[in-house]
Amino acid sequence: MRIFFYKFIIIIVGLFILYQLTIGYTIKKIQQKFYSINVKEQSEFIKDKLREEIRSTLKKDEILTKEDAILIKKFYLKILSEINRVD
Amino acid sequence: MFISKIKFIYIFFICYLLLGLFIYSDYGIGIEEHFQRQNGFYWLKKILTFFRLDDLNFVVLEKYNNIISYDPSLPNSEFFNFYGIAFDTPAAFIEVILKLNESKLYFEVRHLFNFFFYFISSIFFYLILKSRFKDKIIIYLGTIFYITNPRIFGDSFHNNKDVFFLSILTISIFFLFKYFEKQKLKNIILLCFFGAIATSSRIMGLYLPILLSIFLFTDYLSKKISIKIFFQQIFSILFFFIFFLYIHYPYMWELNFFEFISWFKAFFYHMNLRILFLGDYYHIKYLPRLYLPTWISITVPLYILILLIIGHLFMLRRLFQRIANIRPTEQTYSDLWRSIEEKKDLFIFISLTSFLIFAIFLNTAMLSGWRHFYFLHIFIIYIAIYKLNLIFLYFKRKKINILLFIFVNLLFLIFIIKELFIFHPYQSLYFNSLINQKNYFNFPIDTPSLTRSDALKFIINDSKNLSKIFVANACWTPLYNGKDLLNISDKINLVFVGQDYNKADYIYTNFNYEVDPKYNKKYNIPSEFKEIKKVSVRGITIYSIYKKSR
Repeated sequence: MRIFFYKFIIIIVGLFILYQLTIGYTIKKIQQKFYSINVKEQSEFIKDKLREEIRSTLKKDEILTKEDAILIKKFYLKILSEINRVD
Repeated sequence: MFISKIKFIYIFFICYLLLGLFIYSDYGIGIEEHFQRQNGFYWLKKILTFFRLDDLNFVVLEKYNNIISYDPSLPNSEFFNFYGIAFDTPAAFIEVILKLNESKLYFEVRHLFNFFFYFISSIFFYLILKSRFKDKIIIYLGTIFYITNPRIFGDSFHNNKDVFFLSILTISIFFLFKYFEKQKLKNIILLCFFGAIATSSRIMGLYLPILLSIFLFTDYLSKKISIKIFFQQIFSILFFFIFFLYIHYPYMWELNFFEFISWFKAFFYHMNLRILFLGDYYHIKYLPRLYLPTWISITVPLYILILLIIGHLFMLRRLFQRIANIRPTEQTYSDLWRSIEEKKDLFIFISLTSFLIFAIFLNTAMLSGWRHFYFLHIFIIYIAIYKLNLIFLYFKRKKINILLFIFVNLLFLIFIIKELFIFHPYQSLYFNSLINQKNYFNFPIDTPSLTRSDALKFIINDSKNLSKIFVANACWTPLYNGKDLLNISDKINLVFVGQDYNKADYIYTNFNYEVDPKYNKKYNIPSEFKEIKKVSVRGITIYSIYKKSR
């Protein structure tokens, strides 16, 4: 009875640790990733980064190369004509 | 000779007491102290209402209402009413009886009260060691290690929850070991009394009767006690434990047997917070597994840490050896322990190991470093001393070796006393030499927010010409509570503006954030503020004060 009890305790503790080091470890990693992400904070951070980029771009004399400017203009006019057609 | 030995211990404890009395007023207010004071008055109000002591209750009610109106952001005592009965209620009672109306005074009295409990526990720890180890040098070293661990030493003046629990747990373990020696009713009653107080201070105190019952069961399995005595002992322990818990712990009165689980749920409440650990921010409920071992490794003095690791491995090896040698037919030397001393060691070993497994593998919410597990200090020191004793037994065969042993330990004591001196009064923020200027910013430093009062004192001295001083705080710390350790004449000029930096003359920060400053800029110091004070200990910056350039 005594030896059975001690063996039983050792096996239970051993199985618990084994589970925690394998399946439990994976679950823990997912939980950690999930709960450590703060969506609001990080979206604010991205918005701020965007604003910062726009501000620094506005300081430049030229933003686009000539080819890009032509491309965007054509794209803009195409969109505009399609919108007008709907009207 | 006997008298001189007695005198040495008396002198040692008197010196320690005098030291505490001399320095207790140097410490700042801990982050939870306001809430705990509120809890104390909450329970005192309930008790006085129950006994219909209306005159006293009137004063208590006034104080309680003042606390609520003064700081409405404090957690609600109606909800968080499960702790505080053992320390905070007597502290509130003393405050009322002694008519302590100045905040500086009543917080300092609380600090003194807290220190006094830790002082008493150090005497009990000395007695635990005295009954376990033979050599005086080991007993004295163990007692000094117990007292001088910097974080615990610092917290013994202001941490009314965790260090109080540690103190009561130490006293409980003393009586538990007495019970191991002699299974008398007196020992059961005293063990259950202190065990119940420990449980009402931290729910983890429940482990005492549980682990003791398992030990009794192994006694029965080894045929050391009969089944009748086994049930008698279990019944006595459960009866006295529940009795003492029930008579002093009002939260027990709310226990409905059919809603047992929901009664326990309150203890596992956690805030929705993220904390800094190893340079990243984690949710407090889903911390990395190495959170507690890492914190212990960087805040316990290295010498004790090494002794602890080796001592723990030795105890583990001995346990497996004992299990391997158990023979079903044999009784003598065929058990998990061969003497009462080994039984005590095993109790400490299982206590530390099970709490470490609990903290590492189960999602235990922790914040402010590892203060929720400061009660492990008694196990840490015991195991370190166990190893030190083995070293001493090996060394003491030659006189020259004893001198070497004394010399090494004396060096450590000088080092640790120097560290206590350097960190004073911020021993609670101690890091061992694994943390230095290069990596300290990966961990929160001033987690108990101890620096608030000192920072405010500096700001007041620096702004003598201002009639109103507007102070902002660029950290998560509730700065306004720090003013309660200032004199009345000083604090009336202070106006706290939170993170409204435009209004501020000064900005205080202890770099303790609940959001990742990489993504959230709310604690960024505006460029018009210049740093005028930076307090660092051993290259670790604890707090800074910025002043608006005019």
